[in-house]
Amino acid sequence: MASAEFEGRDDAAEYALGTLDAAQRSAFEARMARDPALAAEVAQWQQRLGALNEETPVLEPPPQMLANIMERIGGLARDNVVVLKRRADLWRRTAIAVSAIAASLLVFVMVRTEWQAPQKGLYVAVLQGSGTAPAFVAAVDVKSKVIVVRSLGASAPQRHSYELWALGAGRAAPQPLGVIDAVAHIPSGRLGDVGDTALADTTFAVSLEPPGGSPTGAPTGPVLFTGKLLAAN
Amino acid sequence: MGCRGVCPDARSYGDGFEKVSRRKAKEFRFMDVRTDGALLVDLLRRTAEGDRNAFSRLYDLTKAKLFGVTRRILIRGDLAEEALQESYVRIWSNACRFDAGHASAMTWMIAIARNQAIDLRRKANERIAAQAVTLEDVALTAPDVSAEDSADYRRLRQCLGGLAADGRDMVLLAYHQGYSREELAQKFSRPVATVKTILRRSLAALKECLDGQR
Repeated sequence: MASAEFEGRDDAAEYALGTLDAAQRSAFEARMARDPALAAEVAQWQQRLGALNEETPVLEPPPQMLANIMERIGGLARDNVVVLKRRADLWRRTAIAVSAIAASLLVFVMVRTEWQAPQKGLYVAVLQGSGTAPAFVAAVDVKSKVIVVRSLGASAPQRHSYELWALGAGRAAPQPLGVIDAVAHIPSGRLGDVGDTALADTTFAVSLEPPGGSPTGAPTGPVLFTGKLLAAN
Repeated sequence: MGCRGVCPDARSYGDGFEKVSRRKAKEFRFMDVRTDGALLVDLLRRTAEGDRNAFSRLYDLTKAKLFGVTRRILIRGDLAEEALQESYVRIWSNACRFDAGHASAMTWMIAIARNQAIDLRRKANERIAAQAVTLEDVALTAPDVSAEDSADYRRLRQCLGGLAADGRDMVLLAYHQGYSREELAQKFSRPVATVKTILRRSLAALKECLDGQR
């Protein structure tokens, strides 16, 4: 039987080649997000196979395409939370530290109206893709029984939705929490009956799904962003 | 500067997915990768800083190549456009991740476009299959490798030539047209497990051949 490492390398080659099916691709992307060595392996394969790009014919896209793209990225920048994202980009070498700062700032902004003192039962997560810039921040407030998710600029492509999932803490499969957009408030009851230990052991993931979310109750599209919950106090 | 002149012929390639001649593809690639590689890297760096003008310039210089990539994989024009749009949104937001030490700018952007196109192809599979045109042979045509091709390309083609025919064709169909294991299994009338074995054996042989020549 092939070792896990070997299997991972074979998967990296096939991921770069593109022969995996949708579920295998999502699963591999989730692994790659946690394992920089795997991501490097994929990059090497992209470079190895990249010479084949010389055979790809060129084809002019429709003229309105640039305007559509600029509108999309304009939407990303209009929101002033992007300032935080930009800073995170600049500090990407210390991305994790910066993410934690961004998370606490944003969590502070999100909950400051009710904010009294650091309390027990507040958990935060910064959701990132394979890049270093955070895409979402999420907070679980046990007392108010709510999960707040805030986009840092990521928006789902047309005819798609982002869906939030809970992983880990003994869950056999990703647990669907609901479709999210710029700001989402989700009842924390959807996490199930979980205690502090389980919360601190939970990872949030965002997958790309058909409009309205996965029709199957399991992620059907790629997992784009993941982040582990941390106790805020 | 003369980048707008890089690919004047591209403008005439409208909606019909006409294949450009290999000579024209070569000209484009030649100007792009060799002459403008440093320019693309600089534009990506400025894009990472949020420079929209640089991004728009980057788009102009690379759109025809990236659309060629997404169109070949997705066949349908509307899906290819959707994947292209997503690709550039990703390039915009991930430009800070680009590391010129690890990949050429064009390879990095094409990898993003391929991933977008393949993800969409997996999701829209039945819609695509419903009107699949027989474009398969495009990727399999024996290439006329010549001295003016890059050393990397000649080496890759040489290593591909050393693979068993089935494996080579599967790799090419997967790379250029986004075939999954299942689709390859259907096309080659082999069990999926066999396709997986052939792919992995071929990729391992390819790696050994390419890395052995460094």
